[in-house]
Amino acid sequence: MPSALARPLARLIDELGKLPGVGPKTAQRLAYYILRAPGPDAEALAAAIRSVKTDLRYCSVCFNIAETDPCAICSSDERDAFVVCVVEEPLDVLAIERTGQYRGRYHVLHGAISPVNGVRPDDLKIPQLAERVKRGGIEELIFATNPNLEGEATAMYLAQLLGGSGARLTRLARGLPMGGDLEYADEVTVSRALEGRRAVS
Amino acid sequence: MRVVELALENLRSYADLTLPLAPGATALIGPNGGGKTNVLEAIHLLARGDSPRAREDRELVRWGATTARARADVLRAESERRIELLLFAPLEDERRPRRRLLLDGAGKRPEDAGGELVVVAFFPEDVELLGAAPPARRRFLDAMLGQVERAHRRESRELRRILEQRNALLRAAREDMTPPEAELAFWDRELVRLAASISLRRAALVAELAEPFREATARFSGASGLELRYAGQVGGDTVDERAAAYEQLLREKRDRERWQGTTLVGPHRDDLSVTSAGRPLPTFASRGEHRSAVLALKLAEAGWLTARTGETPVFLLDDVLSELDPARRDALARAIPRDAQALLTAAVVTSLPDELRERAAVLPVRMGEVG
Repeated sequence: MPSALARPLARLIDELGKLPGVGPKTAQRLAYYILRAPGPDAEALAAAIRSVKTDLRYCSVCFNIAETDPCAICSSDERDAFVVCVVEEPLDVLAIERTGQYRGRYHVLHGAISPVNGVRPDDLKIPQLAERVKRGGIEELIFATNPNLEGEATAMYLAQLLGGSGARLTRLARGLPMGGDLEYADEVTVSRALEGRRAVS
Repeated sequence: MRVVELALENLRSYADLTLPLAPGATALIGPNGGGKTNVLEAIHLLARGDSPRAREDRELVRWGATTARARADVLRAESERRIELLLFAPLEDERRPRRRLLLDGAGKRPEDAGGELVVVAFFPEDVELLGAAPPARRRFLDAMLGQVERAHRRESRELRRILEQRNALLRAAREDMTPPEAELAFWDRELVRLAASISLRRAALVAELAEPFREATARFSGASGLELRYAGQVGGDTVDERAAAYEQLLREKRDRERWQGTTLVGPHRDDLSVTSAGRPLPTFASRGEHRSAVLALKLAEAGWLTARTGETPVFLLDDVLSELDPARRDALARAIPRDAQALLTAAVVTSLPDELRERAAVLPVRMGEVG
């Protein structure tokens, strides 16, 4: 049966459909939008997509995605090199940067331990972290992996691995979200918040 | 507690049904395939979040429809609750939307179903309970606990995920010959924590069921000396004792686990055993004896749920009567408390024992129509 779709359009729909969160209908709508968009817009999109693959690299120190190696944070004199915050994904760096409070550096693992998905410690940037700690000069490691099963598994593995390194090991606190209501929190969150309660000063 | 009204939309054979339900016993009478069981199944689904018959939500959605809805208005001693469940049967190559659960109109996580409406159910599938493989009996215990303890539901879910991860790790380590010790530590710790808590709750439950079960079997079959026991890997009366025992067992089985590439320690290896004079039930019991023993177990369950929740659960008895002899029918009818809402199905009204025929409301069911 001859396809009613011109081949370039069909190809674009297929490619868009591979994106996370994009189903067949959305892919079609996006493809037609791109088709009808003014020339420079579509070109700019294509160039932006190409550029993330060609102009970005991993920082060889923290493994964040950056334009330069080492990245801006790792090469900045204003960032405290004694404190390293360990996160799962580059987006987590953004989350912590948004606080404007953190003056240390980072280490991006690019995932969390999950044997079901075939992810074991050596598949992450864990050997590189151990190496980095061994080189010395790190006084505190903050484990900021997600508070879920895989994130906890990763944090505990790191704690075991780096326990003897002399660096202070800390974990982000868990508990109630700001602006939330206690009565709507689930029991696990509330019991963690109870465990982590602090004296009011 | 009781269901005041049940409403179904595109669920199984029902396009649109609103069914007010009386207190006390109600008999749904009609030919096979008329839709009697679907009513009981829907109540089970709303109460426990799963169907005794369907593996997937798709099976529950009426043919040709994409969404099914079930609602029960539940009257409890001190409150009223409206439970609503939306199920989806997606079209080809569409992603399946998750179920939606609403309690009094407010969205909840579908995992939180259970506990709002407490039921004791006997479906034809249950006849095999004591002869089937152990997973069915573990599910039976977990479902009973899950109706009254949220923590048990949550921990059972967590244990499943821990086991998946731990098994995957053991398999991977076996394949590439890496020692998994350091990687196992976290999964071991979580496994021990959950195993201790889950097995303790189950063992305590079975201990509480043992005596009522003995009484019920005696009333039912005249059989005496049937023993109900939790066959667990470890003992202990506290979580700490059990955790220590599980740790010890993990150490002992370490090599075997690595060699077999799977988790050999944990409540997923336990069982509920029924024995008579030391012999396991399945080896000598007839089908009738099995049925009686399972019914006795369900009656013990009803008593336990009543004691735990302070209210009588709703009885769902699907096609139980047809295969019982008259004496056992009468025994069952007497065993259903007078204050309990009970829904029974039967093909013909004559299979109802006299005791029930006197007090039960009769609802004819045929071709997806009730009443």
